[in-house]
Amino acid sequence: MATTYSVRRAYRETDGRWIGGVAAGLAEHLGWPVAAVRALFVILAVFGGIGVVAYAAYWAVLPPREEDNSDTARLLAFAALVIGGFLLIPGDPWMRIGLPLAVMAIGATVVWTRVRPSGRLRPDGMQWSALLLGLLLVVLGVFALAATGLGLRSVLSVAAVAILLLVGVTLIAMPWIAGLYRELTEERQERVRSQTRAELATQVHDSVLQTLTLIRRHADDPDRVVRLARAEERHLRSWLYEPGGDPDQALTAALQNLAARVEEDYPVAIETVCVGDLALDERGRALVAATGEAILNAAKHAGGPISVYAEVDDDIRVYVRDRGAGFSPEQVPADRHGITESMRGRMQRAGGTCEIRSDDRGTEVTLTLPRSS
Amino acid sequence: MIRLVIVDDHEMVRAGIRGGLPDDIEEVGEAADVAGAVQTIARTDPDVVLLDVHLPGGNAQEVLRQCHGSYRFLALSVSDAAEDVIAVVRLGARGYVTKDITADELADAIRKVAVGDAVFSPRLAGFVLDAFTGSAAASDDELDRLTARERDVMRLIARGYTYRETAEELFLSVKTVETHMSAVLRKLQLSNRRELARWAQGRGL
Repeated sequence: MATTYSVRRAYRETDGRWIGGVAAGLAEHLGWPVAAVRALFVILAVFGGIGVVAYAAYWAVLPPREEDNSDTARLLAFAALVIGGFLLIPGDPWMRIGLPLAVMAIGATVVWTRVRPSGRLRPDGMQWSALLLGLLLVVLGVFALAATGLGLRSVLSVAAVAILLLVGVTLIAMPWIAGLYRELTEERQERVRSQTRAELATQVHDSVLQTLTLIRRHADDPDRVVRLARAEERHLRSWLYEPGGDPDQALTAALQNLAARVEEDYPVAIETVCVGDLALDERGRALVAATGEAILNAAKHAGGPISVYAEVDDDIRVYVRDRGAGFSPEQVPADRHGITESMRGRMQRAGGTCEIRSDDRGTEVTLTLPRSS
Repeated sequence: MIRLVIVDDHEMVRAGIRGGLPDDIEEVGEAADVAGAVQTIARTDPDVVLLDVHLPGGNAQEVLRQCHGSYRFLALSVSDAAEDVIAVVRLGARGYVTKDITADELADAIRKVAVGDAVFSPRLAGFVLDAFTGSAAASDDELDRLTARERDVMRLIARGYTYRETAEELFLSVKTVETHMSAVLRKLQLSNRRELARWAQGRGL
């Protein structure tokens, strides 16, 4: 028997947070009341500042539950609060160690929040200034910490040596770094290329090649061939030019989907034009269903080119026009009568109307649905 | 007799169009790329240029830019992407048809363009309505608005009505309908509406 283990992760809450969402996140993770966790942090902060450092560390380590961009501002406010707090307790021995540590932690957090999990920088406007600020804070913290132990003068000379060493190592490692970077870039580009290629190959195989095979098999049936070719063209075109759009959610996508399905089943060309779009609710779906019946009606009884035009304004209007011989409502055959009635019924139940106009040059069905009932 | 130049990079497409031309339209030249098109058009001085939107070596917009003003263009494409339609029309094409058009409809469209009328497919009419009614912000510039009549005409074209049917429906003469369509075309080319600018953006317009 297969067992799946799911690791419970702790997050920073992005909802209902006071500062960074650390306390709320930990409370959620541990199953404790939020107030208790917050109180604990405050107590730890008051007694020696450990709470603040721990908070900053958790902030840095815990991933946010949702991607959010307001971190920097909150962080700055938090930093000001902490530094101010420490200045309030002069002479405290923790100040000399706690403050530099806190500053370092905040600096590191600033840097880390600028970097996405993929290792790339977040593409927002203030990334460089935020990065510099973070680095500055870390360096300041290190200096302050070192100065408490060694005295300012020796710290400066040690820093000089450290910088020189860093420069030397960087110079030596330069070729490798450059090579690594180039390799990485090339690899990434290659990956994107092969992904695109694979996607294209799948698309061509699933649709175009299959359709060509079908066409070859039905070469003696021109009707079928035309239908196949048209359906494939529509399919390919929507893939190339109009990505996205869920036929269950949006009016335009739903109507295009309807037209495509009818074109697959009947030898008709359907031109669908939509002005504006609409998120589908229950009434919208009724409109789509009624439109489907109108198109099907036209494809079955009229044939030839069919125009579908939808307009979303104060009302939603859909027109389905065919070029058939037309019919007069009194002489409708029984089966067609049923379809017409069900179309009307659908629209009425949704609070809309259905008008049918027909003469010897064709039939036009107008479906109207007020925006709100 | 209408003298026609066909610009398309596919020999099959050119042959197909050539084969379907009626007696009153004569093909005087063909070209397969931008440079060839500019030369052929200058040499033959046609009444109408049938221009494929997607050409190798630059694209149709380059041809329109180099020959603009002197000739009447009818754009032809397999794509229905809004950018393509709006871009070529804004550069001076007097109409836009897709390649699945029938030979008769194409001949009609060529005749219309030859006398200076505009050719609107249902889809192009849809784009126009979308672009000119999209945002509620009313503009003072009359170029940025459609009149009620122009909107009626566009709506009927989008619904698949022929020009004649549109005229009957609105109790207008066909000539008046054509005038309205030319006016819309002019607005499409000259207006600086945000929606149009957005479509044209990134296409070097």
